[in-house]
Amino acid sequence: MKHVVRALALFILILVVFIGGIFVLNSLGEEIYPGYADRLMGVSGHYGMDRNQKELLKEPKYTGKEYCRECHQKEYELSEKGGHKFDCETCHGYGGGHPPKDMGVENTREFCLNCHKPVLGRSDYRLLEDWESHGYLDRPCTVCHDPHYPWFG
Amino acid sequence: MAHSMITRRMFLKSMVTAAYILALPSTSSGMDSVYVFVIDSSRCIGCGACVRACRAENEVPEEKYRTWVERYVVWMENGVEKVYVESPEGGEHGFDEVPRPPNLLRAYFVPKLCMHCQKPPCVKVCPVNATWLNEEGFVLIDKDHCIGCRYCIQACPYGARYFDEEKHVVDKCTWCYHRVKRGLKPACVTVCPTGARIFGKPDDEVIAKRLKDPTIKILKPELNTKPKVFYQQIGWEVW
Repeated sequence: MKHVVRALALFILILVVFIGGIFVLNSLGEEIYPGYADRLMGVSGHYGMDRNQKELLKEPKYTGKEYCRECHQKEYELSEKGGHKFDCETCHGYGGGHPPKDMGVENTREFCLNCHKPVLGRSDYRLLEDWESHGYLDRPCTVCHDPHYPWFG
Repeated sequence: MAHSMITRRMFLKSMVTAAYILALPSTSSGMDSVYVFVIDSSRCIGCGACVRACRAENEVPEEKYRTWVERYVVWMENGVEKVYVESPEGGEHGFDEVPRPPNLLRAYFVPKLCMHCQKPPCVKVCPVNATWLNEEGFVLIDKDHCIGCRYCIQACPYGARYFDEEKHVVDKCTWCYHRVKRGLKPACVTVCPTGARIFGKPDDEVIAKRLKDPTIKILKPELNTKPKVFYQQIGWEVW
């Protein structure tokens, strides 16, 4: 009987130590993920380069509209006035490497209707309900509307 | 004998107390350093600009998607809600008209991407530690270290990971870590024309305002993955 009690006590002791260990690791702010092992060894990443830094080797292509403003001040200010004040790159594509890169936009009805066609699921976000009969059907929207500020007056 | 019995009990008692005291500070965590992504489904028009921007920015291979857009159409039929979900080419070239069902209840677009979970199951299953959750809340992949076993693709409940056949590694959305660290917004957020996607710290003014919306949801909360992409204005059928 004594042996059983002692074995049980030992078992409980081991259990307490294990549970205590889990609490200690938790208190260090880290769940027991494999990523922890790296820092436990005092080494940051493999081959001397931090693994987060490695992701930064990739260069951004989308520059944001402030980059466009440096040369295209007029278009920037015009678009800021109306509802088309989203980023230039939404329509023009990415601006990285632009001075040689062509920023032309496909000048067709279909390009505008990609956003303005009233398909199922779209809420009334400047939708063109009469898109099948609106304007000159054989000419692009830009004949009447300035794409940077599509409203009249 | 009796004396030694008491010391053992004392020892066990002190062990339990020590464990309890050490467990106390585990509740505090630095939430302010972590980024979140908020998507307002009612603003999304399904133009696919985000999908195209992501492909260009991250050189995503053909027929693979780091982000994609789904359309949900829900209608009533004999007292039962019927759901139709589609994502033609990931919504990359926009959405076309579909026949409107009678008794239409709701129809909306849902952009999907990596949730950058605070408890990522993909990180737990990686056998070579090639993927991890960093201090800013990004789940990243070391592509030099990935062996292409694809366990993480199976572990991800959101289908965010894909296999790059050419490089023979797994890849996924990084929330444009390389852009965010340079002070830019992720490519999909940059090009979104309606502001359906926003990205930042939870205490940013715009983010904080949107997070207060009572309709806000995370996907598959029952899995306890703690995703950090929050959705506004979506129904029960999105998961």
